[in-house]
Amino acid sequence: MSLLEIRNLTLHYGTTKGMVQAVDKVSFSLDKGESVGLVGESGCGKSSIAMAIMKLMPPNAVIKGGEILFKGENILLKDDEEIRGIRWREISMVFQAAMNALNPVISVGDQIIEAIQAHNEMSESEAWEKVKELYTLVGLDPGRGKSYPHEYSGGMKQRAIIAMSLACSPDLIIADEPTTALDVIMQDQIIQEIVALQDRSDMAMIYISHDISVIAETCGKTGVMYAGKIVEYADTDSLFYDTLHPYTKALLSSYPSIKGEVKRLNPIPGEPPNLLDPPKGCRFYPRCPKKKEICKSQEPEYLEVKKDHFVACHLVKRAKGGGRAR
Amino acid sequence: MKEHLARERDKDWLEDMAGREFRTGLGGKWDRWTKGFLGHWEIFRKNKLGLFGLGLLIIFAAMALLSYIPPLIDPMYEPMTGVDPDILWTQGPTKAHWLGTDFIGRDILSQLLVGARIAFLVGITAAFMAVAIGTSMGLISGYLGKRVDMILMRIADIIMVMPGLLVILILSAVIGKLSVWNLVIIIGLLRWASVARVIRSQTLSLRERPYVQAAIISGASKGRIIFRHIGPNVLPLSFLYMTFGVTTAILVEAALAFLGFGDPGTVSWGMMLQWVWKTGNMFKAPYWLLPPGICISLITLSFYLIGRALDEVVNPRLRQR
Amino acid sequence: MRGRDEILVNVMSLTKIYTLKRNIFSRSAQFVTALYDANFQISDGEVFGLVGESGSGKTTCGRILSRLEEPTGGQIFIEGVDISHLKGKELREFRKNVQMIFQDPYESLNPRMTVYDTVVEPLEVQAIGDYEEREYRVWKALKTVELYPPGDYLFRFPHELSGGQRQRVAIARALVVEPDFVIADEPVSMLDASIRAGILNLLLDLRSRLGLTYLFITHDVAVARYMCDRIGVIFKGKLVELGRTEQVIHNPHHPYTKALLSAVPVPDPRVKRERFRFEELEIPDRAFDRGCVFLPRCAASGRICRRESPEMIEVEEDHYAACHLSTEM
Repeated sequence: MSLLEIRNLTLHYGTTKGMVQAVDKVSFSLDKGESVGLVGESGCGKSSIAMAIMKLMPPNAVIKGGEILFKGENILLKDDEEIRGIRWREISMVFQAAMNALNPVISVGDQIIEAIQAHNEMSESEAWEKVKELYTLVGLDPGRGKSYPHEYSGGMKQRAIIAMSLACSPDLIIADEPTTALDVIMQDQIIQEIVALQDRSDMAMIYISHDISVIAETCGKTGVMYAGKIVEYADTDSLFYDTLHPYTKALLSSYPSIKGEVKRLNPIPGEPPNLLDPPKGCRFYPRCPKKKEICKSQEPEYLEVKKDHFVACHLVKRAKGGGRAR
Repeated sequence: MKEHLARERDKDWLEDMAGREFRTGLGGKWDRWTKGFLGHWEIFRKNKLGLFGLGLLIIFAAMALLSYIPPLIDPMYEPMTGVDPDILWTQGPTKAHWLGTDFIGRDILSQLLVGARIAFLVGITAAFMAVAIGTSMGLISGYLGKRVDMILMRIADIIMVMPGLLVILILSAVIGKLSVWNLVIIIGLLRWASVARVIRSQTLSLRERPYVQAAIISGASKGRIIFRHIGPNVLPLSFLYMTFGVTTAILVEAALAFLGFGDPGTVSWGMMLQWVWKTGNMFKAPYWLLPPGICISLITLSFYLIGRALDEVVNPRLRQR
Repeated sequence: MRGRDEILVNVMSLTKIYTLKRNIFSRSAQFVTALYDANFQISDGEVFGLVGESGSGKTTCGRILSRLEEPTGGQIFIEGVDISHLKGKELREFRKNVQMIFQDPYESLNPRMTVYDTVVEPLEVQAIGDYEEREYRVWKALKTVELYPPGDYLFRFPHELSGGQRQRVAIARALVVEPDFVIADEPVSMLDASIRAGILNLLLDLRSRLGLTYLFITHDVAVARYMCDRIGVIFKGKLVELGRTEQVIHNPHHPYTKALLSAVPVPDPRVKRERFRFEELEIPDRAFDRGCVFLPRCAASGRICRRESPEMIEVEEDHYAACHLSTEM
């Protein structure tokens, strides 16, 4: 049984202008110890999925369909009490710029203890020991637990947040752009920590980012999202070296690199579709360099075209022996 | 010259622009203002309390307009001088006088209606003055900074710490009886300081916005930047402060009139309260005491509620989805 | 007329120090040194990149070169004119030649002005042309930035445009006075990957077509490599390395450059990066006059690094580094 299985998740947001179809029939699964990256541009729905898993959606969010099965049970059907039990202890989350969420008048150590004691029966001294342990784990000096947030740098704060999210040794950690607000060197150190942590423990991870370079280096599997749908999902190596979906191909060729030759970047003309009224057929149709007639009218199915490699595109033929629809 | 010729030949340009309607953001073309206004109205509409406030305001506005009618019906309804030959003292509501009469037989309802007129005049004029001065000072102080800022803000500080009511009382004791218009000016001169502070801080933050920096890089003069870029983005805040200012002005006028420092020649709600009190009828004539008191409270409430609703319009973060 | 290989921008000993006044009564005050003794040159038609992390001083440099602020020390020559302390009419003239593109497309345009209002403003301010001429120039500028047909965009408001479109309008505004030198401060960091590529390519095309010269400020080394002919690496207000892009990227000399380059993630799962070791980052800054600015973080320092601040030395042709441990060519 997978640790986390998302089946046909559909999520809409109610706004004054109508329903924004932010996530549409998204499916993927995660096993114990696996790391999956969700990559996509702004508005593609990746953060919404993270929020849905933690049931931290804003009040105007409506789940229109689908299931989120965590350890076999549907999270969407659980009530607040049950969710609170799961949050932090079994699934925890690191937000973007979460370091700004630290209370400036309480020492960082105390804040972590708050989180620990909220979910575990621990005495204060035991909790402090745990804090020191966690600090060492994320590469912070264990002696600095009593300092205040303003005495830490941005990178240190983010590490403290990661420490906090690991406090209860969750089975799954969701990282939503954890390093975007940081400088490159700090980002690198934190990514290294995260990868090391992941290797050591049995923790599964969902890493959400708009930066495909970071995902290439940290995640075993990658899902590419566009306009609320997953368009391609495979292990990272296959995604990069056996790219099937036109959007993925276009996306990959719009990232400059410091290695290799300097190649002309290819922008994708046009804009992502308006999710208030998405087009009938493939959502990438207007911008696709390889479009065909069928793409305009019919939505492509999300199919496993090769082993563990899923694509939603009319133009990709199924490999011999076929795959199964998800 | 070359540019001219190039233009003649650029059919592309001529074709593209043929038949297109010119639209500008600033300088007030009607469709922008109306479109913007309608958008704001949508947001305002959602705030039930704001609508209630607006409703009250409309009632008071109607009262102010109606105030001209009673004297036309019968000179005995003149609020100041009208005297009913049949009633020469205070009396409760009758068919001729729907709210009764005051201590010398003048119709209370007419007085109430005229009071609405005064409230609007005083309130809005004084508030407008305060906000106009305050906004200009705030803009200049915030944008020019350094010396100018320091001087203007010291002046503002001095004004802010002055106990307003006390100052007016002292002034009226020194100068003698103040007319309504004197009052308006004094309120305006005393209230601009707090508006200036708020506008100044808004200006300071707007000054660092990239579009302002871009205007500086284009070579725009300070005046142009203040009035074209920062000003319009600060105006919504000014309007908001005007609504709060109206409340204060009305209350100050009423308080002064009540204390006996108002203009004896004008009938305002505060004046009415003064008369009730002075003639010892406070507990004997509820039909006389209650209407002006309730009106003051309600008009203040209405402006306040509208102000709060406007706050949502001005500050998108306060809006509910 | 200018030609290639001619120096358009010459920055000498540029220094910028901010004073934070604490107490008007006490004599002492706190200083923040944003830039210290920066020296570099930009040739006509070149794209020069200034690469550094946040707080490194790169944005300050852009602000000074565009005269949003004045330098505390040093001189800046643009087209032979010392622009460091220009005022009045001369400053205005200068503003016709140097323009800037900002990072945030959402804040670069006045929300209450139409695209036309925004793009025509520099022309109005500089009193260029008559009404019709200006209208034409604005139209042309929008066409140049690939907003086509311009008529469709002229009378829209910023909130009706996407991030990429807004940035194009900002570029049009910068180009409408036909400047020689454009300062681009992180012009694409707030845009999505696929839109970024479009804007970067546009800027490169404009360089060739219009003969522009750029100062390209960024924290993203990969973008700098794509865009720039030469780059300068800046750390805590000091230029530590300078030279042709490919040389700096493939043969870095300064420890900071090495650290920076080794920290950049690569969009390729098969590439293993070699991480460059260096010490703890979180140490309070020290004064400039004593020792190398990178010392607290440097894993390879020597005694001289504590005593003297290193000068820029030429380590290869047109490649300079400020490190005591580098050898001169």
